[in-house]
Amino acid sequence: MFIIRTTATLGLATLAAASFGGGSPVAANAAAAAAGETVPQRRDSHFAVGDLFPDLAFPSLADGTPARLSDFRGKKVMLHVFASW
Amino acid sequence: MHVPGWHEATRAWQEAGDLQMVGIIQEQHPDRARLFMQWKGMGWPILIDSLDLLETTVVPMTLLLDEHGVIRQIQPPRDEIDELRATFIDAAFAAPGAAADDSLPGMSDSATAAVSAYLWESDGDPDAVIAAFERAVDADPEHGYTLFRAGVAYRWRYDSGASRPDDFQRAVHYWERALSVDPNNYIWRRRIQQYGPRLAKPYSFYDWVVTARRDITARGGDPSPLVVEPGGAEFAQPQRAFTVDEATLEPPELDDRIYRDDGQYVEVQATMVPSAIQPGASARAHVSFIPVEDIKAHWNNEVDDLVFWVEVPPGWQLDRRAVSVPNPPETVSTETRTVEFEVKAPDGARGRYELPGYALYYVCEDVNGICLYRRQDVLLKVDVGG
Repeated sequence: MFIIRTTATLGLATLAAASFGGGSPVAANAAAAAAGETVPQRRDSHFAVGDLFPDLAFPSLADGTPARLSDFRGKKVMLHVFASW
Repeated sequence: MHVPGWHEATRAWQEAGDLQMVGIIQEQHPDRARLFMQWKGMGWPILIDSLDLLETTVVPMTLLLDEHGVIRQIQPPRDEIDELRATFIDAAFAAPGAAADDSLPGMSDSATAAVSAYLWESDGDPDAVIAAFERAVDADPEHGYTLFRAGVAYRWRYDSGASRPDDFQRAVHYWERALSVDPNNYIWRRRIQQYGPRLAKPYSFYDWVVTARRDITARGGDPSPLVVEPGGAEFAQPQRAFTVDEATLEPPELDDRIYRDDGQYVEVQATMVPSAIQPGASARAHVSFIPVEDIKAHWNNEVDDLVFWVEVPPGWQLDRRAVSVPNPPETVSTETRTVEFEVKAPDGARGRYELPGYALYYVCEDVNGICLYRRQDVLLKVDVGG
């Protein structure tokens, strides 16, 4: 289990505990594999359909306080992991 | 752009309360996302993951999470949005029986402590955060994410107003080490390219800031302020061939007779991005000048601009030999001034090269109440070849 511990500054003993599902996207190169070459496996993320999204706490952009995806339980969520560039 | 397109396409669902949009941004400077969201009229919650705790290696990624927090789709096709009404928005999903298996590579206790220090205790003591990351790197020097995160922390301290010498170069160093552990990580590669030379840049990272501010102002708003303004490298456009600006300033006569500032009045941080290049490749230099706070040093803006000259070894190219920083309108100021330029190594270069440069500037200090014209010598170093 992946646990981020923190101090009592925010009054929280444990801020985040996350579970990441197994199964990574793999782009196999069949021709190279058939030729006996080692092909790097592609892994874009730990995310997998059917897994709970990790319940990590992140600072919110609004005010820096801890926020996590479980704050939105009960709602259908479209999550974008992105950068403004 | 990917995210604003989804925002527009799902606007009716959001307004009806059928869909909650959430963002997680992976940027060194998260406040820039605030300006971006304001520009695009997107008011939904954003979480900050500058350290990439999620260990995604690419952006953007879009995921659909059901009412229980279970991932139901990854990268849904935009052209199939109409089907999401039935397959996702109106669907009732069963609660999961148990949490999914953990498959995240384990982090050491020291790495975990460093992450927590950065995220939740960083306002108090930047030096403690850096010390925590140094311990984490010592404990596991080949852990790519710890190396990347150490780089994020160093660049953050560089921008914090409490920078230490070489903070930015150390950030680059750690990002390069992380990328050597996993050269496929797009997020790590982009972090170097963000500050790197135009020949290696995939696109301009923050040229949109200018347009965003103009658009927001034009519609009567106040653009969200940025804690750290994007630097020249972050505005710069990619380049396919190295170009040289021939219209350059001439060094003043007698410049060698100007008294030196050895860092007493202005501290210098010189950073090469990347720190090592292949023969024929280019690097971008960032040279920052920081008035020393202890003596209340400040720029005298009623005289000439700060100017920086640099020399390169035979066969090297410079995009411009002199760079100046225009004075702001205030008569005095204390901001950090940064000059940036690019150098290109010749094809036959190999080894460590030194590029001597110097700055001329007017600086005042409050201890004795004097103003001075000073020169400071700066030696830039870049490694070429493996």
